[in-house]
Amino acid sequence: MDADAGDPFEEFVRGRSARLFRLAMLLAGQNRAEAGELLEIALERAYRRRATASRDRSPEPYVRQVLVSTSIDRWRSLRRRAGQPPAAGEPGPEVRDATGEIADRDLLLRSLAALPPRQRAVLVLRYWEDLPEAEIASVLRCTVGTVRSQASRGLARLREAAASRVAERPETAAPDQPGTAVTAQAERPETGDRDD
Amino acid sequence: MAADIERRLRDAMTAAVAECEPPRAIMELVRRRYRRRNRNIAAAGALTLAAAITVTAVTGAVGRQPSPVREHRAAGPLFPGGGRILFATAAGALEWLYPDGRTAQVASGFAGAAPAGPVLLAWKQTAYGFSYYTMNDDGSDIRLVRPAGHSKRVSTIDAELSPDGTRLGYDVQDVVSVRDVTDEIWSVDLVTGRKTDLGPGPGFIWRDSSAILADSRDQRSLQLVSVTTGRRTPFLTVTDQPLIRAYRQVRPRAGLPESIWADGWSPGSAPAVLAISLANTPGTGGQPAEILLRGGQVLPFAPDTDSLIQLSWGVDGMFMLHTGYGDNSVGWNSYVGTLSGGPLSRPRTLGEPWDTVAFSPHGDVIALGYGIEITAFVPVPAPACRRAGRCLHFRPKPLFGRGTLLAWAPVPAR
Repeated sequence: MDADAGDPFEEFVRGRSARLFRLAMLLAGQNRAEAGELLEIALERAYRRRATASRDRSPEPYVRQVLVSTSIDRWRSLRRRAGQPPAAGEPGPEVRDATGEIADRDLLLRSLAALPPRQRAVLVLRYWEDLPEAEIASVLRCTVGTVRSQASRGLARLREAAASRVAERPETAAPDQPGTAVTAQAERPETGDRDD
Repeated sequence: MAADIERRLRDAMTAAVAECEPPRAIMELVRRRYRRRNRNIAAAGALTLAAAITVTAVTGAVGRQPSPVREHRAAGPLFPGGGRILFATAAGALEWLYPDGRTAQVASGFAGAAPAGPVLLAWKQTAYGFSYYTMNDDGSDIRLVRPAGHSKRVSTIDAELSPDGTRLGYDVQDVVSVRDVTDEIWSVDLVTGRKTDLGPGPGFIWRDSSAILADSRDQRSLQLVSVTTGRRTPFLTVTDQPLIRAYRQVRPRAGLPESIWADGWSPGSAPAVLAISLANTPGTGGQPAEILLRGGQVLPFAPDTDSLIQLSWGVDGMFMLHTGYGDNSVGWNSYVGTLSGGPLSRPRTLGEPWDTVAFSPHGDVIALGYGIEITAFVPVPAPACRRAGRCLHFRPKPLFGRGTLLAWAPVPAR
């Protein structure tokens, strides 16, 4: 490397790690420790490849792909070991929420965290990363049709959760029973993810 | 209603992670994880070596069983398979390593290199991407053939010399944003300096010294592009019946192929074989198959994987397929095959995904590169090794601290 040049990989990490960490947070159901581990794994894999980087594209798509695939693999492996998916992150401190907006967001996020990991990844890539369906299919190694069906199922579950909250909400806001509507569904084995 | 839940989800996600910051020392954590992984691989290599010593001591086996490292240093070769190996050292030098332990430094200040006929195409990292150079294999006659850009947004990737070494093809990538990346392919005549715009990328391979094969933007065809005129003509498409038949033969439940990529021509003399990959999703991935085309012959391969499949050429029609997802060790497997068909066979490895691979000049040994610290040597398994006329039998042999494995070549007669 030229003497006056910074390490391009370190520059990449400096410039993009915040965004990638936020993606990891969403993929990990806002479990901060899990998100940190995911990001470390993904960046280490990209770091290994830096010597042959001229043959590759920008490391970002690769890192994103490893984040997604590792989040799914780790969920499956933890679930096999413990019989249940890894826990979502702890809720934040209680905040006055006159309109119910924060509670609504909180319920959506908990419901998102309770989805099977591929459904969650599809929704995060679609609605947070703003990736087109074809690119999500490429990241998840599945067809565009599968992306659509996973997004549709995931949104349906979130809608159910939101509707149940509206139905249960008394005139004076009571504390939510977070995630109960969707947790039972999330514990079902994943089906229909594969196309074959 | 649907739009409402989508908007609320988008807002919720954005608000939830807006303030999240990664651990402060993330780069140091990454380096530590990298070192830990290398220690684990080194330990696996040491175990293998210890087993080899034990077996040697108990059975008194000689012949092609490699000796322990200490004895190698005194008398035997440092690595099996002969020839010489090109490494990029941790200090940034390109260096040939010979089996007797001799080294010959080619040049310093380079991140990597690839042999291209009698010369090397080498590259340096700069603050603005990569710059590319040609040089003889002893480091003489270094020429800058493609300088780095002047912007961090635009960089040159995928530079390849033409088979006769007279032209450089390269892909100029402009990363406008994460989701907006454009690629343009160019060629430059290294004698006259004349450049030709060969149209959009993303990828290409040389067909011969007068044309390249470019991937189409929709990934549904390969196009033949003249390097003198830039004219494009269709070459192969996902709707070609022989390709569909070959894909269905190895992926009977995957439906029709939806994307096609050029993986490269076999090295060496004719008959040239073209390797392409097909998948049933846009982009690489979904139910991939590797297809080898030689004249009218179509050879499809699809090891048990639903994700990544990559091909590396060996010598004399030998090839290695590696499969996996990302590079998780689960499902990461390698297979060796030959153009004569027959079953694929699995080489014995250290278990972890490797980063680079090279075949020995005789086609009897495979070198696997694990980062810059470890290179492991394993025998080419049967039946592929019979193609080389001999099958070696030895346990995986590690070599430590030489750098990134770049290439394995015969020692030139001088």
